[in-house]
Amino acid sequence: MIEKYLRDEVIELKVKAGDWKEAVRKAGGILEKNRLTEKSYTESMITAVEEMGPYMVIMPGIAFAHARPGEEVLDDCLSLITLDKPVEFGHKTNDPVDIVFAIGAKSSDNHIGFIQDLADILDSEENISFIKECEDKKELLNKIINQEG
Amino acid sequence: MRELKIMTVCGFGVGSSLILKMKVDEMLKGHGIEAETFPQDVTTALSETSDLIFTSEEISGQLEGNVSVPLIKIANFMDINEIEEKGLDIIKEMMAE
Repeated sequence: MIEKYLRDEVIELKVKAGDWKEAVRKAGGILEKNRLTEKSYTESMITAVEEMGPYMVIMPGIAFAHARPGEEVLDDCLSLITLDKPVEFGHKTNDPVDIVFAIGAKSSDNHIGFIQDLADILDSEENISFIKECEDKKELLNKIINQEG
Repeated sequence: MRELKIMTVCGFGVGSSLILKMKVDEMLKGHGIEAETFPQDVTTALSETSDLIFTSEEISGQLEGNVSVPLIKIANFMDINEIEEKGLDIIKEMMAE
């Protein structure tokens, strides 16, 4: 299921970002570029962190940037960037971050299909290290998608 | 033994709270416990009824003092051990009420 969402066009590896905002903007920029979200959604994701704190760094090193479901999201979507250098989101225990997912949901009613797959993938330390170190998108997709079948 | 209503709360009710819900489900299943778990965004959580809430440290600040049920703060949403350590005993206690 996740292969429908996690495609070559939504992945960028070893991205340069000076701080967490830049990192979120880059992840969000991918969604905009692919017409999956409106431009305002990226800023909404930044505001979310500013207003509610970095709760979306839900596990060490990994941030799940997202904002309120709604019109800013054109289709349920996902982007993935890995950072050249980790950034601090200000989270008490899970900083620094070097993997950022940007997630968009059209509505809060549907359970986003790929979240389950994503959780399965991230359940493995080996996968996480692989994603962090990977420099080739095809290699990354092969490893991750093949795991899910 | 009653079935508990357990809410997992994040900022927007998609993404992170879903992941937390799945991990709580996994932990409960591992102990043969049946409960109704559902993800919720923080605003709706304030008016929703539940027996127990799992959330993050940051979000708990918005709920503390505004809800009457126990709040369990989880640092790593993917860590079943943490969820178990912080939540299992209280869940068992509540089920036995």
